[in-house]
Order: sequence, then structure tokens, then C-alpha cells
Amino acid sequence: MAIHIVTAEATEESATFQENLREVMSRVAPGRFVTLAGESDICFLHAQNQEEGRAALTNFRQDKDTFLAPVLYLFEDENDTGSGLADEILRWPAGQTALPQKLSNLKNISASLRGLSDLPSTLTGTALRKILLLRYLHTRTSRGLKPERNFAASVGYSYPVPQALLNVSPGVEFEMLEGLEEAQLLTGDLVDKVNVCPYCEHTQLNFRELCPNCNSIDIQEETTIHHYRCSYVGRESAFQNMDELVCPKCSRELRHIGVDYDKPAEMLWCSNCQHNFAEPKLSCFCLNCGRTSRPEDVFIKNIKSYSLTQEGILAAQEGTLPGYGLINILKKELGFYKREVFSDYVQLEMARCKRYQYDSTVARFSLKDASASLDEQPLKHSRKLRKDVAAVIRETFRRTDLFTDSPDGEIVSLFTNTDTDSSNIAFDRLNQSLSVLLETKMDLDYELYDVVERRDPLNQYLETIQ
Amino acid sequence: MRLDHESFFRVFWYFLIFDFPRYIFTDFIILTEHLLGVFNRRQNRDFLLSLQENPPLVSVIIPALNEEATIGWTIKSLQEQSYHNLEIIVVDDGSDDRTPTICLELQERHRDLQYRRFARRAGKSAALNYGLRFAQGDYVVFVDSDTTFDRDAIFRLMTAFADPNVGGVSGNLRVRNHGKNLLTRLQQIEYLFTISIGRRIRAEFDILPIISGAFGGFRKNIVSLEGLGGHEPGPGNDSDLAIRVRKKGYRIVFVPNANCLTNVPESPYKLLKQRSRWDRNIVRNRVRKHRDVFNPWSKNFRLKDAATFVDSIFFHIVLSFLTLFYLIDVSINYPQAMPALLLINFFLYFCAELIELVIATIFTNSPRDLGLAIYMPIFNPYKLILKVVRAAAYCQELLFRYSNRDPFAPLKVRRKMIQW
Repeated sequence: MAIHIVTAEATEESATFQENLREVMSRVAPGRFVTLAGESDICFLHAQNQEEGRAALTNFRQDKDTFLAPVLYLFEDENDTGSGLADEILRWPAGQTALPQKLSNLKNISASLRGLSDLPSTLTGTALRKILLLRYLHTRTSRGLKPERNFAASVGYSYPVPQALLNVSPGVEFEMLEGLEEAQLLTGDLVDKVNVCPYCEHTQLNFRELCPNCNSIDIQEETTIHHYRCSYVGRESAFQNMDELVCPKCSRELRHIGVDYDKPAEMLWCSNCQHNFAEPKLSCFCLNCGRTSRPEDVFIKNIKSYSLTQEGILAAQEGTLPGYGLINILKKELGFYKREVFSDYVQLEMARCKRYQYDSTVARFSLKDASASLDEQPLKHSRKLRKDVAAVIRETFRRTDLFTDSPDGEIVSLFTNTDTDSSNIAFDRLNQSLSVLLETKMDLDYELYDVVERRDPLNQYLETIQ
Repeated sequence: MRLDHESFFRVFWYFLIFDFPRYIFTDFIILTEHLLGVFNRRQNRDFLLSLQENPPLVSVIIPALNEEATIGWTIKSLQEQSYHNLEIIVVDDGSDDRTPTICLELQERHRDLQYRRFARRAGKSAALNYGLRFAQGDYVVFVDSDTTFDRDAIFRLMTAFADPNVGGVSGNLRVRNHGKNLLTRLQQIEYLFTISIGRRIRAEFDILPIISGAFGGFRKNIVSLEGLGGHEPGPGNDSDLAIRVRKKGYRIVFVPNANCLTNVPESPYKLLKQRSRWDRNIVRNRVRKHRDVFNPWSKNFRLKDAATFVDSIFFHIVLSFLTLFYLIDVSINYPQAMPALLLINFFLYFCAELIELVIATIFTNSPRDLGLAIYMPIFNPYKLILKVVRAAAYCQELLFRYSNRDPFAPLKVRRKMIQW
């Protein structure tokens, strides 16, 4: 077992710690000590106080080379919880007896990591970090991704691990997780619902009761007194005269509740305009952006805990992201047929074209460039853009066109009553529309098959995609 | 029959010996003391000031058994009190109506309210004593769950404790449902005479034997379970407690302007049941249980206590039997003159009580009560009927000790309590 030790601060105490740890490990689980975390099976991270520990763990998880490493966090501060960034935590040296159990859990993670294929070198940027997160979840199967309360986060919750991975402020990591859920790589279970400002999406809302007449916040609730004798109904303070209650209308003393007076209701009074009312007007004041909104305009943000779907597990194992949701949207928009059914339709169309002497075309094209372009967009925009892209594709083709997909993510379509020239024109139009939409020159990679003239290559292709 | 002095005395001896002097005496005392302002004595200013600035905690204990119709109002009126340092303890003696629901809802909204409950009925005395367990105040006020209070009732009750010799204070009971029917009107008059006037005068002479369970306050250290042991089981527990406080050497006083309202029976049957119970309790407590007050060799003997009992026994028990004796006497000896005698008696009592009503309204500063004068013609016949009921109740108790079977206490308690 290869062990890597990280200490939050290089001090004499940390050197002593390392010696101690080596000595303990030699008894508990002998292994070799390595200097690079990437070469290790298990990393020990030690800190003497909570702030140092959090900073060290965050740095560890921010680095894509060490993000997935199993970490046992050894802490000395009894209040330390490891910030949710370590796989196991252990109070040191008081908790030494639990070390074997912790090591066993970490070894399982390490074994899971070794079973994963290497990531392609072309995988970079956001896509890389998404895959890393999926792999993190895949190798820590029992944990899932749970939100933690965090006052510093805009929505009051944060996910420490993806936040560290993305190196963003608390709360910003939501976009990535929601995108992965939309791509059906993660599934979410509702944990909480928070009210957020419709302008800045912060949860620091102050719900205020206002006077419906003048919008003043200076309102009080007071008991109403009904004086039986003269039917005067007024606020209790109007009746008070030292310790006695005296009717302001007829000046009689009120002595016995239920006999000469009663308190039938509570009412609200505005100190500013003296208006009285039963129900205040509600408003929400955002303490972050300072804007006021109506309660009905407040957004409700769902806070979820996430776990991998089957597709997410597959993506983690293979190290690839499936078209990142675009294909799924298109499947719904265009109505994909199963490949064998599609193939049958193509055969039928071949026979019809031959008999009735008209042209039809099968096209295969890839949207990987468009997907890649979408992946680079901020998630909030890319979600809408994916739908727009799908709509553009939908509008380019006709309702009589049939679609399916290939195992490697290409789209295969049958354009009935369309020759290859017309198909080329359609793809040119599609390229133009996508270029405008994505604000980048799009040149889709596609191939056309005339169902009669290129029958054999077409049949060969159809066989390969079954 | 011709009436001369002797014959007049012979046929009207009861009125002339017992009632006429009592009316004269009472009216004279009331008027004199009212005019002299004797009742409005200067009170301990420091204590009064402390009641306003730093009021001591008063624990109000309300026993309740199926009082869904009234308990909410009782609590509400206590929360209206001008005396602010109150804790209210409701002890539910096994209610199976909405009393628990109402009390729990009120407890949710008001932190000064505690709701305690016996799952099974234990009796009013046990409920009151259970409430004593939770009482944090130095003073306790026991009230009924159908009583409501003037806003200053508790404050006025507390003023009486300025005198350190006062161990218990009785509030003034007035009738809430007086307008319900003729019977309730008559009881309204009766309460005015016997409670507002009668108890006030007796308290002045320190011969008041009772603090009504509807509204009475005590120093907690005297009546606590570690002190006198709280209430005793059985009917008449309120007068029993007051007597025990007296026997400890403390004064029992009456505060006429600490007003509360309570409901009185609206049907003759319920009224007779109530009065029979009260009258049996008089025998139970004052003839049997506490007869040691008459023993001059008893270590707790006080002349005033003995006088208190003599007054109570005479005016309740002796006079009831004497009334019957009188009626039998004149009906046997003057059968033909009976209608005339009754008519003249009626007229004599009517005049005396009318005068007493006028004086009472002056005394209590309630001129509206003068309107009760229209009921005076039937007030004495009403009293006469009650006297007959009384006499029967006294016989029941003296001969059969019926109070030991009174369902006031549940059967399990009755079986075990001391049979007086």
C-alpha cells in the first residue's frame, strides 16, 4: 500500500506527527511512503486546527490530480469535522484504535479507483471536472452528495466537494450539479426548499409586514376592545388609563370582561398613517441586492442530495460524457426510433424509391461540436441553449423525417422524398442557424446516402449501428 | 283575636325576638360604620405600594371537572387582572368534555397558564392540593371554574394581606345569571344580604367562619401541604380550610370590593340540592369536625372562634328549627288567625327587608340594586321555604351523617376519608 502524508503546516509538530504515523502504520498496515499524492493509494492529511485543515483539504480537492485520492483526515481540534472534504476523519492520536477500520474503507475506494479506465488526454476544462466528480461519486458509493448548510452560500447550502473541485464560491457549484441531473447522469432527492430572491437568487430574504395603505413597516398588533354599553370598538391602548380601562367614547370604567366588555379580535394599526387593518401586506426585501419583491414572485429553489444514475456510472467508468444532454433532448423533440425499426423503415423506403422512382436520403451527422460548444457555456445559459439548439434542429427537418442514434452518439436520419442536394442545403441551413445561436462557426460533420444509389454502403452502415 | 302588647308579642315572638333585633342591629351597624368610614381604614401604605411596584407572585388555582362552557371565561378574566404577577394553574379532575382541549389551547398562547390533569377523577380537594404542589407564589387564590372577576379583584383581595395577622381573605360573590328567572333574582338578593352585608359585618367582628371556594385567597405557607396540609376531602372543604386557618390563630377577612361573578342554580331542584349540601356541611364542620373550638381546655381555644361557631350554629341551625317551631306553635294555638298572622308577618318582614335593601345599596354603592325591591314581596316566602329545606338537611346530617355519602368526593375517596 502506497501512503502519502500531507501536513497542513510544516512545523516541528508535523514532523513529529509524521514519525508517529509511520511508526503506527508499521504496526497496523505496513506500506511504503511516497512523496506524490498521485502515486499513492491513501493520503493522510494532518492539521492541528480547523482552519488549517479546511484550507489543506480544499487545496487537495481543488487539484485535479489529487481530487479523487482517498483521504484520511487526522485532526487534533476536537471541534473539527473535516468540512465534508475528507473520506474518513480520525482524531489524532486519541482515535488511533479506529485506524484499521478507516484504512479498510479507504482501501475500498482506492480499489474502485484502480478499476477505472484512464481518462483521455483530450478531456479538459469543465468536462474533465464533471467526469472527476462523477468518478468521485462512483468510488464513494455509500456517501452520495449531500448539501450542507452554509451561511456564506447564496442559497444557504453548498456542496463542499464539487465546490472545491470547481474552486468557486459556495453555491456556484449548483449549476454543474443541476446540469448533470438534467443530463440524467445524477439523480436528486429533495432535501429542502429555500426561498430565493428573484433578482439575485440569494436566500437572505427579510419577509416584512407592511401597512397596505402607506407601506410603512411601523405596524403593531393590538387587541381590540368592544364596550357593550356604547358599542365602541377600539384598540386596547385607547382604553388604558393607568391600571384601569376607561371607554374613550362614554368615559365609563370597564370592570368585568364578558359583563361590560370583551376582546373579540386582534387588529393591526399603522403608526405612520393610523390606518387599521386585519391583514398586513407582505413583501420580501433581499438583504443581498437590496431589491424588494412580492412573496408570490420569490423563487423556490430545490436543494437536493445527489447520487449517480446508471448513465452516470457508465460515464464515470468510461470517462466520457454522453452528448451532455443534447441527444436526450433531441430524442424527445424528434422522436427517435429504435435502430432496428429505423433500419426496417429504410429498407421499406429503398423498395419504394426503386419502385416509384423518387429519391430519399439517409444522413448521419454528429453534434459533438455543438455539444462541446454548449459545454463551455455557463450552465444556466447552456441549459436554455440546448433546448434552443434542439428546437433549431427540429425546425430544420420535417415531421416526415425519421431519426435514430448510433452507439457512438451520431444521429441517423431518413429524409423521405429528398435528394442529396436538398439534404446538403438543409445541412447548410442548419449550420447557419447553429452558428448564429451558438455564436461560433458551426460545420457539422455529416455523410449522406442516397437510399438507391448508395444502397450497399448504407446497408453496411446500418448493420454496424445495430 | 284582639292584639294588645302581650298578644302581639305572643303571636309575633319569632320576628320580635330574633329577626327584628337582627335587622335593627345590622342596619344600625352598617349605617353607622359607613357614615363614620370605619370600613375604609387606612391601609399599610408600604404594602400597598409594593403591590403596585413589585407585586409578589400570586398562584391562582382552578379545579375543573367538565367545565367547557365556562373555564375559558374564567381564565380570560384572570388574564385581564390589573394585578400582573399571576400564575394560573388549572387542575383538571378527569374531564371528559372539551375542557382539556380548551385549556391546552390557552396554555399554548399564554405562558403564565399551567394545565395539569388527573386522568381519573380524584375529587375537588385533591385537585386543589395538586395545584398547590405547583404553586410558586407566596399567596394562593382558590377559585371555581365558573367564576369571573372584576379587573381589580385580585389586587383588592391582596390588599387585605397588608395585615400580617390575616391568614385568609374572602372575595365578594355576586350573581352573574341573576336575570335568568325569578329564582336567580331572589338568590341575587340573598347574596347581597348574606354575603355582601352579612359576611362583611361578621369579618369586622372577626367571626367569619368561611371563605368561599369560588374566590378566596390565603398565605401559601399556612395552607400548603407542608403547613395545614391543604384541603381535606369531602364537602365543605372551603369552610373547613377557613376554620383551620382561624384555629391556627390567623384572621379571616372579607374584602367587599374584590368582586367576582358566579352562576347560581336556575332550577328549584338544583337550588335545593345546593342548599342542602351547604347546610349539611355546616353541621359536619361546625357541630362535629371542629367542635373542639368549644373546649376551653383545648390548646387552640380562642373565644372568638367559639363565638364564631355560636353565631353560625345559632343563626343557621337553631333559628331554622325555631322557625318551624313557631309555625307549628301559631298553627296549633291560633289556627283561625293563621291567615292574618301570616299576612302580618309577611308585612313585617317585607318592611324590614325593604329597609335592609335600601341600606345595602347605599353600603355597597350599587343603587341599581334598588330595582330588586319589586321582588321583596316574595323574598321572605322564599327564605321560609329554604328554612324548611335547611331544617330537613340538618336532620339528615345530625341523624344520618349524610355528608359522608355526598358525591362531592368520588367513591374511592369517600370510602377512605374520615367519616365525620
